[in-house]
Amino acid sequence: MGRYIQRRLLISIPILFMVTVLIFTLLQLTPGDPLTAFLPPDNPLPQEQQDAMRRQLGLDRSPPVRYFFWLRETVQGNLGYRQRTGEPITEAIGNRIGPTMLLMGTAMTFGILIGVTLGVISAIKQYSFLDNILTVFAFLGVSFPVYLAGLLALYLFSLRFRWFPAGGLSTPGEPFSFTDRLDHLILPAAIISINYVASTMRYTRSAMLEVMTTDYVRTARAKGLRENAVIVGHGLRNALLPVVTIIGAYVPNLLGGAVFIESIFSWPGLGRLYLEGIDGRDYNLIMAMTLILAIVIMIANLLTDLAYGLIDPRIRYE
Amino acid sequence: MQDASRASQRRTPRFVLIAMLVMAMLVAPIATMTRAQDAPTGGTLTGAFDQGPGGCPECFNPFTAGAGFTWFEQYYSKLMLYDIDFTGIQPELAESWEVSEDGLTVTLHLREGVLWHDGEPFTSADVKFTIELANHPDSASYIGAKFNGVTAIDTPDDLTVVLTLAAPNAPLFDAFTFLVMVPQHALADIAPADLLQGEWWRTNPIGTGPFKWSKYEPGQYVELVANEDYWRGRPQLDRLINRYFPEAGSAVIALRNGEIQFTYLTADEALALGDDATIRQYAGPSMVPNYFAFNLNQERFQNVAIRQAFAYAIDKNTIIEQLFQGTAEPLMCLFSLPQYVPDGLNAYDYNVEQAKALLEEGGWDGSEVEILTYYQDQLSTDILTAVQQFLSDAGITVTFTAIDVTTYNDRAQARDYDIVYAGAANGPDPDVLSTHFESPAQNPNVINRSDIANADIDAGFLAGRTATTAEEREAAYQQVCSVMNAELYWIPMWISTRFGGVNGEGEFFWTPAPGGGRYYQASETWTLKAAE
Repeated sequence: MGRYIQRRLLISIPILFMVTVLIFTLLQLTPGDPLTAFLPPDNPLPQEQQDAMRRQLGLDRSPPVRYFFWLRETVQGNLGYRQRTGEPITEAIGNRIGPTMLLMGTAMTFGILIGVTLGVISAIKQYSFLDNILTVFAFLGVSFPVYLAGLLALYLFSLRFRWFPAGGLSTPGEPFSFTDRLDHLILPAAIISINYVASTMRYTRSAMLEVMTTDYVRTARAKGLRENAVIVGHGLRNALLPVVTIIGAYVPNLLGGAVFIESIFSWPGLGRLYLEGIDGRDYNLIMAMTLILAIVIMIANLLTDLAYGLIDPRIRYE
Repeated sequence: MQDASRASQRRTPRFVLIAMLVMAMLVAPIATMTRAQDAPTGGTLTGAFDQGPGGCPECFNPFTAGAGFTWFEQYYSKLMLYDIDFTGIQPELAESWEVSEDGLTVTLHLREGVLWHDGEPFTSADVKFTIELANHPDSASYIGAKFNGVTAIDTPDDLTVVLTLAAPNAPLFDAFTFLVMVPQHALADIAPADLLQGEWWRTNPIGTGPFKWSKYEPGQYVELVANEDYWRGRPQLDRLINRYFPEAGSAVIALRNGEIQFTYLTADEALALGDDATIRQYAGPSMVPNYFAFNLNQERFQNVAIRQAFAYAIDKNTIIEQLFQGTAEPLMCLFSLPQYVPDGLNAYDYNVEQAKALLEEGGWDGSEVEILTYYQDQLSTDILTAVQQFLSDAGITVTFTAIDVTTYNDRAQARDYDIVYAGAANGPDPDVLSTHFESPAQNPNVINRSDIANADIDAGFLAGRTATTAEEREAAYQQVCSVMNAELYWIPMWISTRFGGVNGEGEFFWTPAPGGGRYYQASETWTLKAAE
């Protein structure tokens, strides 16, 4: 097991290197650079001053040299500064990682718990009225554009019914309070979780259906086990394998955030930061966030693979 | 209220004013005492100060931000500002100023007793420091270029600044409305390059404005608190909060919800909120002239007949009536203030036959034209769709591409465009347009992405800049306006209206930040009606 993890981590180094080279190259091909993004379109900066800024931002050097500088600094733990605001990138990410993890963590936790439960129910009661309703809901939940859902939810629950505030992390100017945070969290988290409920439910349902027809489930029933024990102990435990795979695939979203929902709900998270980075052609920020996301995806994949071993004793890592 | 009192002031004879002034000086100590006893009304005003085109969300360096002055002016001050109607420039930290006969020396007299937020006195040294900082190449400030003609800054005493100019510089006072004063004692030790994106601006900036910096929550809001020592007196409000909304629709919902007291509204939103009695709407000119600009490097646009054909083919009055619901003003040239627009210009009223004839005359090759724009809102899309139709009626095939500002800047700078649809530099001073029309041969600091080189335009802008009387300036820019109108390097279209919505009973006004918001807002008088 230890050697397996070691090997996986070693392989990830060249992959990460390639990811950063790829992103860096793509950024060079994108029109504009941090300076053109910084200049107001109608307020000119004398050419001399533009040249000075280019030098200051290091944009006068060739791309390979810039990549090398970036790599050298990053390896030493220096992710640089946001080119628009001068905020250190570690600080910018540090400021926004909490809100994003809170939002996405809440949405995913509830999404997965509810999704697995509903998936099991709809598998057991296959083709029942409830199953049909849940199936329709799942399709809507997966296909409904989250952007529209967010605006609609704001309009209904914030403006019409006045149950929740119109976005933000907390009431501005008020000291932190748990209820205030909860008040701001519920609506965006609920919208995001719909998607997770729907997809988790569909995966759980089909995995359960497959498992419940297997020989060992029949054997368990034949032993005279209670139906609940059969469903949870033999059915669900085995059905979880594919479900864990998709949960593993969710994990990077924990940091990637929900770009649209974060924007609509003025949530100061990483998804929005990434968007600002792209708008501002903030090379440092985009590189740093891509790198972090790539690392998270790799770790999530590794953890998913390790989780298989825990759930399914047949899987062993040498 | 504000308007009425100002109007009555204008009618008061001068001797009465002087008598009142003397009286005021005598009773001033008493008045301050009574005011001290009247407790300020207090409260927190929350608004989306940086929403809309006049704002610059989370921009904290006032030397590089192209907009967002509505917010900067809450905690910084300038030497002078426009009045709310943008008709003239009024004193702020400079109490008065005079220009020498030859126009080469400007003497500024600073207000006495102004304190920085940390208690240090504001002096002429700060003014000198600020101008030099803006002018420093490492500060990357577009404002610095506006002070290029200043050859020397002398500070004979703490309250006097004497500027020596290379040539008379009429737009200098407009330039001062861009320049926020910053404290020498706090910034002198920071290199301008480090200050460009330094944390000073967003951690604990020190100004002389009516409110003081309190805290910044990245991605959420900035909070200011009342400046007890503000030279006009402590503001009525205790706190000001500027909330950020990445999605415009969310700001409108927060406004209707009562979570914020005001925000910018698009024309569509203003129309949709028309029957909402809880929202008061304000409207004001954007001061942004919209235009179609030709890439004059392309041979097909070098014939004036072709450019005129485009102008005749577009029915701008119908667009104003139908799409803007009448809330835009058509333009004759790029200037909008009436004193710079001479009579008898060609309005290029819609005439498709004339357009066809001109195309014929100019030998139009029938090639396809791409219109490039950074406007991505629905209204602009509708406008360009209409323009596409109009031009197609005249026999011109047009496509349009809407891209983000960065890509736009990149392509426009590389001259990689046929025609752009955009809005020009913002504000009441006609000299702001020189950067688009003046030739680099005359002024190396211009953008001039259309590569216009017209001796009459050059001469006009130079004359306007160095004019020492208002009449001379008017004559110079009228001349420029006629040439713009005849040559149509840019087809002037319209100036649109901006809208703002205010929720509740608060006593404050908000104008939609024309000129980036460089006007006296009287925010120290803003109040919220106390919730009984």
